[in-house]
Amino acid sequence: MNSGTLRKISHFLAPISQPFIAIFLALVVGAIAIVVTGESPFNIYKIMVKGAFGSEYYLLTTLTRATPIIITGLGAAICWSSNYMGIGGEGQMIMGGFLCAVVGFHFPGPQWLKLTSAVILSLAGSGLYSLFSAWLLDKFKMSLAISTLMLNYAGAYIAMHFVQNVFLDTTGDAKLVQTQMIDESIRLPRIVEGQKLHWGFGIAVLLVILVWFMMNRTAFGYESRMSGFNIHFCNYGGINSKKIMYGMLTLSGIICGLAGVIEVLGVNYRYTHNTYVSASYAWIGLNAALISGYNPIGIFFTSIILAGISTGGAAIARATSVPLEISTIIQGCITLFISARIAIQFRRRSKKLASSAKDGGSSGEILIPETKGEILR
Amino acid sequence: MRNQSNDVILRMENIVKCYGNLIANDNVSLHLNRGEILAVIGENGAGKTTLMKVLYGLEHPDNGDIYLNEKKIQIHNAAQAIANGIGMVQQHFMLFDPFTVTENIVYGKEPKKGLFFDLKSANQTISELSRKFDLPLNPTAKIQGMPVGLRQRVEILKVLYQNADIIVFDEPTAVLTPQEVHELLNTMKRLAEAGKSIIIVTHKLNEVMEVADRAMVMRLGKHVADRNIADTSIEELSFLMVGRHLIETEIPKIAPGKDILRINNLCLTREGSVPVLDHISIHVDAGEIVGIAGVSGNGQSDLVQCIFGLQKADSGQILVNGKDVFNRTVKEVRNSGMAMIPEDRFIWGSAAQASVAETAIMGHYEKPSFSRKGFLNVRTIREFAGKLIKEFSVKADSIAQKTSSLSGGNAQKLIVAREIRQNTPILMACEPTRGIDIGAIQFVHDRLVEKRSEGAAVLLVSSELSEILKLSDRIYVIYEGKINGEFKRGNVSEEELGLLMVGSKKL
Repeated sequence: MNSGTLRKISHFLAPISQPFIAIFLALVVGAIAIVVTGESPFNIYKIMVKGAFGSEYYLLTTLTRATPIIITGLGAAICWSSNYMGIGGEGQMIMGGFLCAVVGFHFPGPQWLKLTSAVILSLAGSGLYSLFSAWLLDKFKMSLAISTLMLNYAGAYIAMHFVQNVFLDTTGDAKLVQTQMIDESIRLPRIVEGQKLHWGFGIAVLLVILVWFMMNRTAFGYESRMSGFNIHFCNYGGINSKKIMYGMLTLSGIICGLAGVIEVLGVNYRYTHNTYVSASYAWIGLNAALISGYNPIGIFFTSIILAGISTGGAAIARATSVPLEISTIIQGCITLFISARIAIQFRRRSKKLASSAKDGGSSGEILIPETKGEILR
Repeated sequence: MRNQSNDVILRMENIVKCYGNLIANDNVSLHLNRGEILAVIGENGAGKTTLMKVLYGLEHPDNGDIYLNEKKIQIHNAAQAIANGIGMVQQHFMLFDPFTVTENIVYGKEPKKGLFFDLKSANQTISELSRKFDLPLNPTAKIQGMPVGLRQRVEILKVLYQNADIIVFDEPTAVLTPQEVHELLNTMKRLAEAGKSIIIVTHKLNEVMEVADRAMVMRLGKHVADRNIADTSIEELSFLMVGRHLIETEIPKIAPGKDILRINNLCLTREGSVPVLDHISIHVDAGEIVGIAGVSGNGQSDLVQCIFGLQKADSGQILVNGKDVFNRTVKEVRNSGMAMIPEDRFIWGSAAQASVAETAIMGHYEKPSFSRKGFLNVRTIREFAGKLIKEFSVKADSIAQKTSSLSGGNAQKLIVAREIRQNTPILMACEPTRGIDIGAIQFVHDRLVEKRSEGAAVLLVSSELSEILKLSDRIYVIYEGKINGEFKRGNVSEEELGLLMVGSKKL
C-alpha cells in the first residue's frame, strides 16, 4: 500500500479512533469493577452488548435513547467548536420540551396549528434562553460556563413551577409533576410499528448532515471554525466575532431545544418534571461531542454507543447480580479518558508554546482542544 | 589582532540531535580557541540554536561529546554549564524588573554575611566588575525603564559574575539600535582581549565581518564550512549559508502618483500613560513604499492597528482615496481597499490548527467566486489555495495540512501571498520578514517591490533598519508615538536614523 492511500485511510479513521480507544480503556476499567463483584467480565459484556444491540427490540430502544443525545451533542459541538464553551444544553432542552408540551396542548385552534406553533415557539424559546447567556457574556463578561450552568437549574424550576401550579395534569392517578398529553394526531409516528423508535431519529440523522454541512460548507461555519481556532486571526480577517458568538449560541440553544421537542412529540407526549435531568441526555450529548472532537458524524456513532452502554447496563442489572451502576462507571471512565486526552494536549501545547517563546519564535497557538473538521483538509 | 593563542578551550564532537524525523544537528563538530570570537552563522532552522542549547545543557544530544580543555565533560543542565565556565547571554533577557542591577546579577549566587544577604559587598563587587570590563552601569539602578542595550549589559555582567570563560551570545543584536549594536561589538572585542572566548550566533553578516575572527557556517543541520574572517567576504559567507547566490532586489525608479493613504493627526492615549500616538500625520502615495523606522514599542503596532480598525483611536482622520475610514470595522477598512501583512504570523496572520487552504482564504472567502449566498464553493477555494502556494513557492505537501506544520518562512509566504492577492491599492506590511531565512526574506522583498511597481501604496513597518533602508522610497521615524523625522531615499544614513529612533531632535 502506498503512503498516500495509507494517509487517506488514517485521515478518515483519525476522528473515530480516539473515541474508540477511550471507550476500550473504559471497558477495561469496567471489567475490573465487574471482577470485584465476582462475575466474569466477558460474560457480563456479552449480556450488555446483547441488551444494547442484540435484538430488534433492544437495538431500537438504544436508538430511541440515542436520539436526544445526538441532538444535544450537535448543539454542544457547534458552540464548543467556535470556542464558546456553553454547558446549558440541559436547560435549553427543558425549555424546548416544556414549551412544546404546553403550547401543543393549550394553543387554540386545530391540531396542525397547535403543532406548528408548539414547534416554532419552543425553538424560539430555547434559542432566546441561550441568547440570554450570550448577552450576559457580551455585556457583563459573565463566564459562559457559569451562566449556562446556572440557567440549567433556573430552567428546570421555572418549568416545574408552571407545571405544578398552572398546567398540572390532574386527570391521571399518578402523583407526577407533569402536563397533559398532546393529541395523538400530532405525535411523531413510529418508524417500526409496535416498537419505540420514532421519526425523531430520522430528524436527528438529517440534523447530523445539516450541521456537518453548515460547519464545513458555509461561510458562517468557516468563520465560526476560525473563531474557535484563533479569535485574533478572525478579527484581523474582518470577521465580526460577536456575530459568531450570538449566532452560534442561539443556534445551539435552538438545537438543544429541538431535543426536548422531539422527546415530547415522539416519546413522552408530555413534559414531566425531572425526566431530562435524571437521564442526563444533554450531559451525555456534551460528552459525545467532546469525545468525537465536535465532528457531527463522530457524534452520531458515539451517541449510539453511549446510549447502548446505558440500555446494556439496564440489561445486566436485570439479568445478573452486577448493579446498574456499572454502566455509570464505564461512562464516567470514558469521560475521564477523554478529558485526559484534552489535558495532555493542553499541556503539550503550552509546553511547546513556552519553549517556542523562549526560542524567540513567533507562535501564538491558542490553547483549545484539538478539533476535527472535514473541509479543506 | 588579539593575542589569541591556538590552544583549544572547547570542542564539541559529532553532535547529533533529532526531533522526531527532523535532524537538527547532523554530526556537527565545533572547536573554539582561547580568546577567539567565533561566529556561528546560518539561516533560520540551520541548527545553530540547537547546537548552543546542547552546549548550555538545555538539550541533550542523541550522540556526541563535549571536551573542555581537552577533558570530556557532561552537561545536563544550565547549572552544570555555568559551573564549567560556560555562560549564555539569552536572546530574551531574563531579568526581574522591580529589582536593581546588582540584585539581578547576584541572584542565585549571593554574597552572604552570616545568614544574611550582603548587599553592600554585592554592590561593590558589581561596580568593580563593571569597571574591570568597562561596562558602565549603576549597580543600584532598577531594571524597570532601562533601555534594551543596558538590560543586555546587565545580562553580560551576570555571565561575567558567574566567572564564565566561554560566553555565548544568541542573536544579540536583534533588538538593538545601530549605536547599541556598535557598542556591543566593541564590548565583545574587549572581552576577547581580556581572555574570554566568545561564540556569537547570528545571521547578520556585516556584524560577523566586523567582530569575528572565524565563522562556522551551518546549513540544514550540517556544519558546511569554516572560514577565517580575514580570508572571506560577505558574498562568500552568504553563498555558503544559503547554498546559492542571491540576486539583489532591483528597485525600479517610478514617479509616485497621488496620495492614496493619508493619515491626519491620529491620536491615541491610554489611561495613565504618555500618549501612545501623538498627532501622527503621514501619507503614502501610489507606487511608493513608505517605511516607518523605530525601536519596537514606540507606537508602530498601535498605529497599524488603529489604521486597520483593530483598535479604536481617540481622534484623527484616516483617508483612503479621500474617504474617511477612521474607527471603522476591519471589514469596512478591508473593503475600502486595504490589506495587511500582520506583525505576528501565528497570533494575527493565521490559525495554527486551520488547514493551509483555510488560512489562505481569510479575507477572500466572501468574494463571489468562493461563496454564494453564504455557501462555500469548495472547488474554487481549493484551486485558489493551490495556485497561491504554487505562485509564491510555499513549501507545503498539500493544502489540507495544518498551517502550524509549515515552517515560519513558508507560513509567512502564505500570508504575504494571501494579502497581496487581495489586490488592494494599499498594502501594510508589518515586520514582513521577522524570523525568516534569507531566501524567504529576498522573496518577500521582491513581492513588495513588485506590488509597489504595480502602482500600489505600500506602508512598511519594520524594526529591521536595513530592510527599511533597502526598500523604502520615503522613511518616517517614529519615537514615543510621534513622527521624529521624514526622509527621501538616499538622504539619510543608518546612524542618523538610529539617533532619531532613540529620540534625538531632528537633524
